[in-house]
Amino acid sequence: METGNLKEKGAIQVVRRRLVQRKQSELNEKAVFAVRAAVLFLAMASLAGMMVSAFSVSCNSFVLYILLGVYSILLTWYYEKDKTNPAFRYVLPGAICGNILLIFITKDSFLGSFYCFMNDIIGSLNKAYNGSLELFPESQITGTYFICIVFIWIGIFLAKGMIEKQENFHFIFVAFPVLILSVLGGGKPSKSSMAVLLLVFLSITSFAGVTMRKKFWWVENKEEFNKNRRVSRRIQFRLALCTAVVGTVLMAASFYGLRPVLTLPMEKVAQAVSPVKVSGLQMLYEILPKISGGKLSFSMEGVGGGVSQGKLGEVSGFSYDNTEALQLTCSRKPQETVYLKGFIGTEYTGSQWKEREDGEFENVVKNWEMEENPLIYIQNLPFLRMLYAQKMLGEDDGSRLNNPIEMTVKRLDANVDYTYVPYQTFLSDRYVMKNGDGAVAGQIAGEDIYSWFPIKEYQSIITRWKAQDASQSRLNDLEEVYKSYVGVADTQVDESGLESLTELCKGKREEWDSKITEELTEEQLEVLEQEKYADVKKFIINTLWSNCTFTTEVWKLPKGQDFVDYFFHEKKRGDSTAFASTAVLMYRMCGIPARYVVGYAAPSSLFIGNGDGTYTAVLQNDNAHAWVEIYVPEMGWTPVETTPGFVGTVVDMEVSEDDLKEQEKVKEEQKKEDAEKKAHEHSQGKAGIFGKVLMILLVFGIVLLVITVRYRYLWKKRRGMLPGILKEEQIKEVFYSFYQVLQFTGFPEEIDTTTQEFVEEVERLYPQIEKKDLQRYMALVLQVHYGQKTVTRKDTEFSTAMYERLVKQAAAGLEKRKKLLFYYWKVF
Amino acid sequence: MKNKILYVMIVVATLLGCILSASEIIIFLLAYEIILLPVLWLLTEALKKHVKAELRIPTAHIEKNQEFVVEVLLQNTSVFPMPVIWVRLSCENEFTGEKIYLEERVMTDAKGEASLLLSLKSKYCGKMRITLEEIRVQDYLRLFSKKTPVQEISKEIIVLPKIHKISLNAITWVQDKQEGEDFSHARSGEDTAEVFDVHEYREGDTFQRVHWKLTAKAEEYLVKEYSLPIEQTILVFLDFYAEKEQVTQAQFDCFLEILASLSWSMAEQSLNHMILWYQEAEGQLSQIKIEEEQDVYYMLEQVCDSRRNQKYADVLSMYEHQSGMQKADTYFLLNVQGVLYKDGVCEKKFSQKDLEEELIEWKLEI
Repeated sequence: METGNLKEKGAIQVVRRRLVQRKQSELNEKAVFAVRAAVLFLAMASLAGMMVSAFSVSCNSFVLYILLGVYSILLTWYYEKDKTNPAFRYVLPGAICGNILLIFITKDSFLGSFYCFMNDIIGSLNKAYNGSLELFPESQITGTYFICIVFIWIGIFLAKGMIEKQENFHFIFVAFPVLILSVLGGGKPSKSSMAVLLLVFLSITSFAGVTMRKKFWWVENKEEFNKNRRVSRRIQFRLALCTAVVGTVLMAASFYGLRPVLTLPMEKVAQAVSPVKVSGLQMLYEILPKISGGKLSFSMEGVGGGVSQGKLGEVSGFSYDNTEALQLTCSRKPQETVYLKGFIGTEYTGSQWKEREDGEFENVVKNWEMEENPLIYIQNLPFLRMLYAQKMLGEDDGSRLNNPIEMTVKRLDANVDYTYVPYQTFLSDRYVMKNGDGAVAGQIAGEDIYSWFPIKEYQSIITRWKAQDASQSRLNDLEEVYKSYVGVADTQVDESGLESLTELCKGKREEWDSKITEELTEEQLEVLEQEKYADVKKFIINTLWSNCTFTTEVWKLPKGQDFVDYFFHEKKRGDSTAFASTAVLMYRMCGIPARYVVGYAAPSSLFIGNGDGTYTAVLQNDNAHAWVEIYVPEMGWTPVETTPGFVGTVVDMEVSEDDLKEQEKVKEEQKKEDAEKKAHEHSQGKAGIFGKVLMILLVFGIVLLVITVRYRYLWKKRRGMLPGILKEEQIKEVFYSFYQVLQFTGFPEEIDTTTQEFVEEVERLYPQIEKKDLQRYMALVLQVHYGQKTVTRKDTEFSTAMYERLVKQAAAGLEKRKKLLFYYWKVF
Repeated sequence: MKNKILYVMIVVATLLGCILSASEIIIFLLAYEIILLPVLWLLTEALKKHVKAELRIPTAHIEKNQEFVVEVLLQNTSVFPMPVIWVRLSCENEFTGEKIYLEERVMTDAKGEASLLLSLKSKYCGKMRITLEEIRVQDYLRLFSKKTPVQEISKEIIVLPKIHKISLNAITWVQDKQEGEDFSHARSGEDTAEVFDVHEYREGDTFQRVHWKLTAKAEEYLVKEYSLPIEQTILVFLDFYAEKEQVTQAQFDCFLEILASLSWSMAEQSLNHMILWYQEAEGQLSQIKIEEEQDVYYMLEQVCDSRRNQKYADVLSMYEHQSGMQKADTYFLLNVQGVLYKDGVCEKKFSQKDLEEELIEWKLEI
């Protein structure tokens, strides 16, 4: 004979199962109560703490936690009480009504507090995602009141699950979204709240093993039921203690023991799978603005791999090749790479470049007597000098070559903190300078129009003018003052941590210091200065290129290390930020004023004719770049390219044949690397496809889940098996399904189900169903609907059996398509 | 398994989080999840050694469709509570061969004892064997479960058929047969009431045994052999032969119900009888004498321990051969199809559906 499952219809039946506690240890019930209240309190406190810390919500924590403690005690007391006492049935509804009434009475305070709370969260989201979500009206009230009110509801929900039902679903239902929101919202939840949340989660999950089972614990026998309840509470008490002790010990072991061991391999794995991560983030970058209606987006500025605003060695950005940052439209095609300055760093801290301090340069220029804004004036000096020189040379004859290029710069997705400005341009007074003679601050206008001179043309005119006429002018007076200033301010280097680099540059500096003496004439000085600049540039480039290689791979600076020193002596490979940072310091060590610049470099080849004589280039993320600018007397700030592979696209000073050969060599190597990069991008593209496939699978999974849940629900409904349904309702539900099956198979609707005609018709259509059974079934249905029949389990089983028989017969007669509909859509 | 899958998913999600963000907190979380596993495993190992189990069944007999309680007593001797202990039992009807498994989850406090009470009932008769198959202890997150060594504990309970009083008319038989006049045809005995055989005088024969009449006729000494008397009981033969497809559990039940009712009714009226049946597995004829009601229960226990015979065996002939009777006098033969023969003639064919009514209304003449 076959073995059978207990629940199937078999000869051996289980009538009931009961759990009886024969012996249990004694325990202080107050201690048990205290522990359960404590667990509830910790659950609420950790959730509140996580929200508050993640979004920096302004809140009076002391008041909040006190109130949460009070809630915990009251709710634990309430849910532990025996609800058979009629008075208790009204306590919770009363409290809820009281809460609603309180909100209504104090609605202004509640709203104010709500606004404050939401503004903190929205602010955090906007900051993380460069968003523009609208804020609520500003409020003077902190978020404390709102959080306290909300946690009454949350507390009731949690206590219902944890204390009354003794399961963990309620906690997970609340904690999971809070956790996800805190992490994805760009917040940094505090470690303590996360740790407590983890311990609470473990406790509650272990509690779920003693979920209340009323029937099994013999709810009919009050004494036995209470014994089981007491035992379950004691088990929970002991589990809570175990979890607290063991959980804390394991936390310490994990944090101090295993975590450091895992960190290094995790970093390596993170590097290895970064293309997949980038693809995922790329997908998110595309989706986020769409789903938020354009109000949220990622900020994607990267510099050769993802560093912005002067920070060095932080893997917080990433390269997203498809971002369009700026669109340039020029009146004529530039014959050289166009450099657009963004961030300008003047002070090196070891891990980042900082802009000049507020007010520092303003102090310098405050004594300048001029009508114009002196900060703008300094910016405009090269442009004005060019105009002046052209006039002096008599070459302002309208020759196209010497007219400035008109360029429109349209901001697409570039960092909004800066205005991206070409060299040798003229800025009107509407522009605001950040930190004196540094970068131009970002502004609302999405488009800027510049007149600027290409560097080659500028240098050519200025050189000719100087040769012809070196007389003093007002421009030169101001320029002298500025030159002195930058000669001090922008040659400063904190040599701690850079001793070896300093030693390397010391020789070159001394060499030129010995040559350039005060005995020399002005002309001699000028010639030597030019030689010095060329020689130092050659020295820096040769030193850098022979020692380090270019890579787009971004690496994280280890804690306590100096970026330049680490790059130059240990890593020996880096992107433009590494080369530029090192070069700036080396220039300074050699006595030449230098600054670190981050912006965009647009090669000439990128400009495409529009047909109307203008040329347009769209700059993407991979055009973001870092370079050095050095102060050349009477030339002003001049960009110098020190990153391998970029030389030749930049106009620099005289480059010797040897240097050119070396540049060619570097170009060859760069070509090889580009080819490898393309292959890598191809795999990134694949990773992008992978991301899309993942998305599709996810959607498919969700759809499948919905279909499955619907199917199960309907299947149970048809058979009257939904939980909590009474036997009479079950019969009615099954008969309804029975009738629906008949209708589906074309049963005439006009036949009344209460008549004999109905039975005869069913019998005629489905002769395999015995008349006797059908009559018995219909009698049962009628009695349930219209009579006083007490339905037994046998009746419900019989009813379901009749339904199953009909389904089988009905399905047998259907064609294939209809059968699919019958089983899977109608779920008969 | 569900919890294990969930845990693996959580670990994978944390791992992905580490790869994407490599933040300190997420790496710590991953480390915690990894370190938690061996701790839970060790806990389960420790807990499994502190569980003791005992199976108890209060009664040895129960009637068909009557509830009986099986108790599994669990003792937790450790200082840790055990919120989840899985108890697995099997329940087998040895007569019908049906076997089911039961599984239930129990909790016990530290140093506590708990009983799992299962109320069962059997629709069919037979010997039921309840076995405590397995005790499993789970850790607090229900990831690991360990089997506690349990020496297979089995208990038996006999599910008896319903017994109905049958009207028996056995007066003639009682008057005629109570003196016990039957003698064996196969063997001699010492009962002088009947002469079994005569033989020539052999050394050792006593003169009291000489058959003087025949000796005079035969002109040689002939000695009497006395007869062996046979007990006067009603014989009830049981035929266990049936093809597998020809008989169902319900039919076996009917068979037992008829047998029990018949035997009990005869015992009630002090009609001594013998129940005989052939067991293929044992290869011998089993017989039980019924003199009082208690014997009926004993007989039913033995019969319930039997199995269906796959080959036909002429039980009557076997008995006659064994006992030396030429022919059994009054006997009944009941087969598993529910047909009762009296003295070789079909007395009644019982139907499953109305068996109770038929038995109550039946008037049997013996």
